[in-house]
Formats: sequence, structure tokens, C-alpha cells
Amino acid sequence: MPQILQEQQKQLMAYLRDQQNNISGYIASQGGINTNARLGIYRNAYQMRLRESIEVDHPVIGTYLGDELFDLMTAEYVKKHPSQNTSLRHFADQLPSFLAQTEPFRQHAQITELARFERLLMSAFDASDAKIGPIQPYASIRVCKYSPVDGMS
Amino acid sequence: MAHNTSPVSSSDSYTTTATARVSAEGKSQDRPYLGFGLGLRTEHFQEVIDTQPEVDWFEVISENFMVSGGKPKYYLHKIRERYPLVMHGVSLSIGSTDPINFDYLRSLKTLAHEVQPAWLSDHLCWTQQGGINSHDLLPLPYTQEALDHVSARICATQDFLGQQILIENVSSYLTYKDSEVTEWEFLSAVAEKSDCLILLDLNNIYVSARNHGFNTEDYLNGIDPSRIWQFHLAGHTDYGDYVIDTHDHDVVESVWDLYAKAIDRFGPVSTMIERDDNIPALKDLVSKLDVARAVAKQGFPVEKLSP
Repeated sequence: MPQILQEQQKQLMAYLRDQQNNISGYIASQGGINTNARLGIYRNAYQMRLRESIEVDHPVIGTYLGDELFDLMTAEYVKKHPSQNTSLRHFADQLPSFLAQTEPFRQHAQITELARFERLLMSAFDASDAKIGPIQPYASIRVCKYSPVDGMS
Repeated sequence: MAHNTSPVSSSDSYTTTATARVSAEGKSQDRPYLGFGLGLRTEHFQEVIDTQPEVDWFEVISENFMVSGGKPKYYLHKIRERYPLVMHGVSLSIGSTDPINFDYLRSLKTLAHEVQPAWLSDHLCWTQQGGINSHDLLPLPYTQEALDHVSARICATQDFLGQQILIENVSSYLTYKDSEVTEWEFLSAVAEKSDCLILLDLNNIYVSARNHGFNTEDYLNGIDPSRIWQFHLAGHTDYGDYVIDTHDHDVVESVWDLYAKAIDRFGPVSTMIERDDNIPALKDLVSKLDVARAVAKQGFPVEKLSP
């Protein structure tokens, strides 16, 4: 195992994730901008890319929560659920369960539901092809049996 | 170190422009040539199918299509019926010290089997460590240890895929203290040691040259022309003291100049324009390809530039 390389990669990854690290000891001083600024470009890109991925996948949650709560949600999610997939497509797969367990979001079940619904829409877009289901079972449900929706009567 | 003695620095035959040009036009040149292409972006799927624009080929991001089915696959196959494609990955993480991800390679191979791309490429970098993916193209130190490690992994990857791959130079913003050689010496040595090919990103050379203060022509002159199968052109964001590879602007004049020099040195090489953000109308990107054609035409007669 290439030990120096492995240690450098561990330290840089810890730095990107705002964890304790000693990456600056591995980085050369150069002209132009200083080492902190150079490293900062990578940390900023890491955090922004993950945040943007949630923004793109969950526009409705974004609108529903507003900037302040959305920022709180993404910051906490990025910290707790780093990407373990080769595609960003799956980065926010745990967002519904995260929202169901994390304050203050867990107090409002509809937030989890919205997130789950947005993820199902994504799956509908690129899941493997399946036969179209028959409409009959749905068409036969009488309107009076529909679940009541809050605020409508 | 071993990678100081790459064929680039040891062979005279590739050190002059004239020789490179002869080589590019000569029979020995067996690199496939696709012409002028664009990155295929979701925003343009339908328009590409409807209008069949004057684009010689498209490059697709492999990971976007490593999905089970649905719309992305539908469009991919439709477009493949009409255009040559190449597959460009971002998650191979070839320089990582994590174990090789064979699940990823299996899906990549399956997709390649479906799409039959002209070739596959990814980056000379690492993206993943400790099972966590940064989704960024993180730089390697240019050391013997890194050279041995990354070359062995490229060999294993090529063996698994059953074909050579193209490895692309990335933009970088930092230099490791323990780097022993220049970036181009490292890239050349990796290509030589693993017998892989090179996707040369001219914008990345420009960006890294500005961030690290090296000469872009030294870079071009340090690369073995026979390894180069593809060029990338792209835009960046210039902050004065440093430059970031954002792919959200047009290609700048300095990168067009570098492209002219690269054509001069390497001959006709399949060229594409990457645009990942702030994506303009398809017709605007197609018109930028005409700029690339015009630059390339100064170095080569038209018939040499037709795929």
C-alpha cells in the first residue's frame, strides 16, 4: 500500500469535510495565493457541489423550507451522510430518513413526505422500464373514499 | 526516478513541431479521428434528436447513464443511432488508495457494451477515500509512489475492461511538497508505464499553468504525440491571482491560442467543447465548434480534418 499517498488522501478528505487534519503540512508554498486559499478552493467546491445536488433534486423542499432551514438541512446532511456512491444521483437517498429523525424537521412529518415524493419522481425518471399498470383499480375508487386533505373539504 | 526517463524526454523524434506534423500525417498514425464534438447535456437531448445538428460526435458522462433505464437511456440510444459517442467518466478514482471499485467497473463495462463508444476516458486524479466520494477531481503528488500506484491501477482497469483507456489531465490549485517531477512528466510516465492513452484538456493546462506558474508550451512539448487521442476545450473563471476550472464560460482567447499550438504539435486530434454549467443554446455551442474548425484549419487542410 502506498502509505504516504494514503495518508495525504485521508488528510485532504478530512479537510474537505471540516474534520481535524494536518493537510497543510503536505502542501507546498507557491506564489500567487497562499496555501489556505488553495486548499479552500477544494473545500468550497466539495461543499457547494453536494449542496447543489440537493437543490437540484429537491426544489420543492427548497421552496417549502426557505433559505435558512434549507441551509441548515444541507449543512447537517452533508456532514452526517457523506456520499458513498459514484454518482451524485444517489447522494440524497437518505434525505427522507434524515428529515424524519432530525430536529427541527422531524416535528413536521410532511417535510419527510415531500422529500420522499421528490426522490420517487427521480426514480420514475431513470428506473428500469416496467409495464404500465391498469387504471381500473384506481378508477374504481369512489371519490368519497379519497383520503381527506387538510384545509380542503 | 524512473519517470524522468519517459520517451518524451528521451526521444528526439517528438521534440520538434515539424516531426510531430509529419508523424500526424504519416501512415504510422493509427489514432482514430472523430472530428469536432460536443458534450451531450440533458438540456439538449430532444433538440439533438429533432434537429440533428452539425456535430461530428458527442461525449457523454458515463455515470449519468449508469442507471437502470428510463428517459436518459432512451435518449442515449436514440442519439447513438445517429452519432458516434465517447464515454467520459468522473468517478473512476484511478489514483485513490481505496480498493479498485469493481462494481463500478462492471457497470461501466456494461454501459460500454451497450453504447459501443469510440473510447472511454476518465481523469488522472482521485475522487474517493475511505469509502467517501468527494465528487471532485483531487490532485495526486507527482512521486514515484503515486506513479507506481496509479499505473498499476490503470493496468488493472484496462485488463478488466479489455481495452485501453484515455486519462485526462485535471485542473489543480495546489502542489504537494513531495512532488518530484512536473505534471507533464508525471502524465507522460503514467501513460508510458500503463500503456494508456491521453485526453489532453487544454483549458486545464491553461488553468494549472496560471495557478502554478509553468509554461503551457513546455507542457505540450513534454507529451508524446502518439498517446494523444482527444482534446478538451472549455471555459474557466479568472479571479486574477488564480483561475478556477468552472466550465461555465466560453473558451477564452488564450486557450484557443494553446489549441492552435496543440494542433501544430499533435496533428488532427478529435476535439470537443465541454460546457457543464450556465449552458447556452445548442446552436451557440455548435457555432463554437466552427471556431475550433477554423483554428484547426490553419494547421491542416480540410480533408485532414474531416472525420
